[in-house]
Amino acid sequence: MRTMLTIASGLLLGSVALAADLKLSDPTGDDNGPGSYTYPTDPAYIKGCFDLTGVEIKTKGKEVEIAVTFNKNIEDPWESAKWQGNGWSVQMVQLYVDTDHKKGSGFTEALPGMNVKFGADEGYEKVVIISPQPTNKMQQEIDQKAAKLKSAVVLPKKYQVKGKTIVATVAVADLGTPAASWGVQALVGSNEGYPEKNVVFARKVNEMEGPHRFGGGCDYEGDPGFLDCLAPPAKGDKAEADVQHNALKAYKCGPNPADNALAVVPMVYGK
Amino acid sequence: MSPKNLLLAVAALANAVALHAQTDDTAAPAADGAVEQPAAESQPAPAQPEAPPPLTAAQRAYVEQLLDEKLRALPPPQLPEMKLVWKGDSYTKFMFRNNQSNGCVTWGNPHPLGDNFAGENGICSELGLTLEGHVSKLVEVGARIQSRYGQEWADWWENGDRRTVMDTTGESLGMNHASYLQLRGVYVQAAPPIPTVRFVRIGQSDLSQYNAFTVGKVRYIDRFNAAGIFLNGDVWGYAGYELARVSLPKLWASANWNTGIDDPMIDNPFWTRDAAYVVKLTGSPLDLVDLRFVTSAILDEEADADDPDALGSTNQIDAKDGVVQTNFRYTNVDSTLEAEGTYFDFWHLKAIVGISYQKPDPGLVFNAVAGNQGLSPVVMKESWGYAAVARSELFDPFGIGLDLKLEYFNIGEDWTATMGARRESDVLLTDGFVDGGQLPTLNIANEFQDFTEPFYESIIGWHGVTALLGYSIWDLTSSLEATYIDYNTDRQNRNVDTVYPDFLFTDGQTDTDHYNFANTNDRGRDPRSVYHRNQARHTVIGALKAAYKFDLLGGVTLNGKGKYIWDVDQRDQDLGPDPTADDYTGHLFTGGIGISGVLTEHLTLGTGYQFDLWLEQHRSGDVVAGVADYPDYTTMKHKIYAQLGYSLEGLTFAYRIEYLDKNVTTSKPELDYHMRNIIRSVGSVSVSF
Repeated sequence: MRTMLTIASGLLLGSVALAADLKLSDPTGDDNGPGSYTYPTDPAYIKGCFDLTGVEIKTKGKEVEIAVTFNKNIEDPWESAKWQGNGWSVQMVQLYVDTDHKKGSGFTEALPGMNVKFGADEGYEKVVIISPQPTNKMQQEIDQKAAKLKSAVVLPKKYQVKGKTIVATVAVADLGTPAASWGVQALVGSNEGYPEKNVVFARKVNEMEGPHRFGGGCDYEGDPGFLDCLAPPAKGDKAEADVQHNALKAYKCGPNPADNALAVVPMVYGK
Repeated sequence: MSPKNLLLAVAALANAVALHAQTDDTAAPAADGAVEQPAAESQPAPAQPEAPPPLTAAQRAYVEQLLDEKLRALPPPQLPEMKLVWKGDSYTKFMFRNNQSNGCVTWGNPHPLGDNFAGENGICSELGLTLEGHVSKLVEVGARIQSRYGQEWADWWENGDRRTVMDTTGESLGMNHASYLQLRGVYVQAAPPIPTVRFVRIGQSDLSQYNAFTVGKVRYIDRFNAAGIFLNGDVWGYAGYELARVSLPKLWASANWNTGIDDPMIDNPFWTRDAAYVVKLTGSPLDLVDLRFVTSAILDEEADADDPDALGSTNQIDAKDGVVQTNFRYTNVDSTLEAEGTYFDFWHLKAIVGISYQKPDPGLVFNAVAGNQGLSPVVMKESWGYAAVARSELFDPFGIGLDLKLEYFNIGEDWTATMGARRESDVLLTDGFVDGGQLPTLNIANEFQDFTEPFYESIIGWHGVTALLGYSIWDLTSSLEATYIDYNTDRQNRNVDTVYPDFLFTDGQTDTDHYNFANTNDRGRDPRSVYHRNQARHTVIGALKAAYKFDLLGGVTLNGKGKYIWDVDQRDQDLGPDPTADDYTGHLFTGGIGISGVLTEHLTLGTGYQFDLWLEQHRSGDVVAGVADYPDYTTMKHKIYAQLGYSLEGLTFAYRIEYLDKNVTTSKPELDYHMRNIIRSVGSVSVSF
């Protein structure tokens, strides 16, 4: 009996002790993927608009607020209201969460279009997609192109755009209660309203930039499909840019997919 | 392992198994242990029975199953980067209204000659094809082919021929009903290995890289029409630049709505070399502020008729030299400096200041102020102007969901931006008088649009401030606006006969629901009418908006809006005997409520109601025989609407239906009218592929 009470109280105290707000920072100027990526040439892509500077995750009752901050004001050049969008146009953020840090637990391949994976002991259980696309359209896209990952996808109920920050609200019931032990990774790419058939609203990276394509990557699949991400320990130090570059450079991409290899992105753990 | 190698390995295995089986069969010892010897050669060998297959049926099936699994597990072979990519989009619009109009767009061409495709009863389809050619890593080419919009599903057989009277030959309604495919835009973009040059683009551009005060982003339906030569560069990350030459659209980008092609003052128009030249410089000194400097110059030139080489020249005295001198028919230079920055993560500052210069040549520009009822996109005199807008935005500085935005705006009475943004942009925070945006040009385009699309208004002469408070808590978002406007265009006895365009219809709140170009239904002021003969005006605008999102189904949103405008204009302050006899006072109320919901992953529904109550004292009229005759108007409008949206794997269907009622009562009963039971709808199906 005593053992059971001890275990129960330990579990209870453990769950209370683990619940925490998370604040992660990223240095400025590293919005270049593995170090070589360049912005599209169309003026909608303002320099710095994909430069992640911070992620904050806060529990507020039955909801979790995820605030993603960039180095530039969030703009809406494509008038998202006209297509029932969420108040901005260009950025798309995928927030991956590893809740248990266990080998063999969770998914290791990122959503289609990101072209990266996570380590075997850093698989994610949840991924929050912060996108200007309407929620129902995003849901259809997931059903069509990422059905096997569907159970992990969390779509926000609400968005707010405030200056440089996008605030997305999800239900605790969908995401879980944020804990200090969580592993988190935020991949910052661009919203592509007319994606290719094996990609979830992500903008392509090619070797040369185009009006609506990133440059500095590879003309085939395999190169990371985003420009910025968190790098451990996510304190915002300049050295973290090198951590990001080194991690994302380790991909292979060529005409023969059998020879391709995805880069491994590290999760950022609180403790 | 590649599929081929895998197959070879399996084949080798099968062979090995077969050989082993044969060897075994051949050398199988007899039951008594003796090895059988082959028969002597002198006698023909007896027919040998066929060797059994090396694998049993079950073994073969198993090997095939293994092969299938291995092949399925392999990633698909990757095609090389496509050199030519085709993208397509199809769009079909359905319109219905209980009137007699034939057509698929509510408001078409505002030209006095009009068009033959505007109306609100019909179904029209359009196909667009976009090509992207990846010539090499450094060169890309693109083009847009699009069917001309206007052919109704009922228009069988139309071949594009036009007759003065339509008939059943299928050769009478012209190109608008023939749906031919048209090249809409071509571009080549290259990244030449020149220091600091990022790219060179030759051809189509939507001109979104400048600003609304100089060369504005073209409207959506024109996004493939504008073309120029653009040289964009970056000075080693410290600064950026762009030099451009944009061909002037001959139909609206100059004085008298054209670049000389249809000007009665010109016998032999020369328009193909007319252009806007643009310089843009950008920089972020010390990463503290983003600076953008944009200067544009419109040069509309015409041949000097006195040059003996000019077409139609009557100069018989001077010798020809093979060169035709030109004169500037119209020039407009706009220069702006913008500064922008965000500080402490919640304080955003943005400001723009500009100067403008414009000069129409009266010898080469027909005076549309005098000769076209005041409909001119430019003031008919040489003029300098200024513009300034400064905005401060505080995004939830106290963490309680409260945002505060403050804006000061001052657009001079002579500010001119002939190629500024014409619609689909908004330079001010205020909700304004109409449901669209506010723009610093007279060249506003409220045309080629449907009743669901907003109207835009000119803000030349506006001088005022706006405070906008935003508050969000839980699932409620709300905003409260307060704006005060004074007018730099206030003046007594302004020359609107020959210099300043008043756009003919200058009075009364604009009814955008029942708008028509010719104003045959007293729809109120033209949104471009900023100059009046006599004006002493002030305006106060208050607007409250709120939306609450319920966590039901896929999300259900209840929204509401209320706006009040107090607009006063003393007009002629010297009017005798009673100077107040023409004074305008408008109390303009607009309110609405709506609910919309995402019912399923595919289906959204919405409905709502809007009312307008306009109490306008001395709304419109004239001084007749020294007596001011400005009746009072009371306008009451009701609008009930329902809308539906359905999306399915790349297909989007939208539909909206409205019921309208408008009742106008005046202090002169013969002006009263009632528009009732108007039902109109618009639907669309669009697919991108």
